[in-house]
Amino acid sequence: MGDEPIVIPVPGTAELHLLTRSGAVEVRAEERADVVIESGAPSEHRIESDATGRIKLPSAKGGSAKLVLRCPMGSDVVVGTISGDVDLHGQLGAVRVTTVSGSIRVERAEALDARSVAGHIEIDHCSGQCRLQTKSGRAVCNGAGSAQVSTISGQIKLGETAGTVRAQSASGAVEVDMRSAGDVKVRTMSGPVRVAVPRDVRPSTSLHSLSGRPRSECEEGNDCEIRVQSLSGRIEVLPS
Amino acid sequence: MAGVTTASEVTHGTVVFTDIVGFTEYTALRGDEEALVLLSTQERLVRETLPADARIVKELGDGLLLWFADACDALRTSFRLQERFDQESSESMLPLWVRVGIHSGRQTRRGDDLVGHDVNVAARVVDVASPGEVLLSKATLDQIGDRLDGFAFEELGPVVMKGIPDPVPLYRALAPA
Repeated sequence: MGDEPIVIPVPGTAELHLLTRSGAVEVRAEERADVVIESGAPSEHRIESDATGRIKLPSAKGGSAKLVLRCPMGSDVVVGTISGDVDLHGQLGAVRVTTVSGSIRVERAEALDARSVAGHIEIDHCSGQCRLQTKSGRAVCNGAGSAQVSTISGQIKLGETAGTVRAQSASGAVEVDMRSAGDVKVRTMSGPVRVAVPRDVRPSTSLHSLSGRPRSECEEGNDCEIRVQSLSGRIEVLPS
Repeated sequence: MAGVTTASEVTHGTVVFTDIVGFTEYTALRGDEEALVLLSTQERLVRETLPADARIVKELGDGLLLWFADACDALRTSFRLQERFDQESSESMLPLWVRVGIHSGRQTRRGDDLVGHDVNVAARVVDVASPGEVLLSKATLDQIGDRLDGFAFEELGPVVMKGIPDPVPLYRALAPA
């Protein structure tokens, strides 16, 4: 395969299915009406595409080549890799990423499911449901419609959440910054929990710790429900 | 090996792996005795929930390998188990944070044990699941077909797994509303 980019016209948006083993994946969503595979493409007979804009390809060199693509804004992206890092830029549609040890970075998505065993996950903004899972990596989302996040030892940091939040970690610290009233449920074993609540929101809180000290400084009300369970972690619910 | 024969028998069915998330951390935090309580609670709930023609094949540290003759039973039971684990966790603060992976195919009996490629794939499926979640492979979804009303399945995409040559299409199962 040469270094010439491969251009595939698509109707509106694309649906990319990308597979690598160790190769990194970089996708850039921008104003355009085609998909450009800039590097890492396999031989052309291994690229599947149809009239709906669905494009499937593995990366070259048995999955070790770095895949670099450009696609229309709002495109859906599915990535499967073992150790490749995944970097998605621009406004995307539904994004699903699984990796064992690679890290995942997503700038903007409408909906997201990102899973890594050991890699970090960093999301700038997801307007819909944001589901993140990593064992030892850090899971960070700076803004989400709703979020469901789990780690074992990795830190969870959720900023500017607008809807419901479910966060769970064994020993990782959990920080949730609510942007508006939405139900929050957090469970940890030893990880400390801090929930920041907007000053105009009066939550109903239910905080349980076997040996930690739950502390809420918010005025109780019925705007939303905050439930936190921890075996030994410190629990704080504070006005932001 | 010359002179040694091994009795083996091929079977077809659905393998379910369960895995308690954070078990190592819980043991370090609460000690061995409480960890044993967690394990025995998981096993009790599983035994109470399994249908007659399913069985616990073996314990794997903090997880279980289950076998079902029917893929629909495997999925229904997995959801029932997750409900019971969640209920127990909420009532007792026992962290039964369990994830479940399901894969259907061919297994080879080795005594009471099951081995084979499809068993290995099932073990990799559970690695991808989140606590409280049930993931299944396309092979299992194909066996379920349209036999289960109300369940929905979200495609996660083909997942590249360590040691498995081909990507495995996985789905996230959603219980009936």
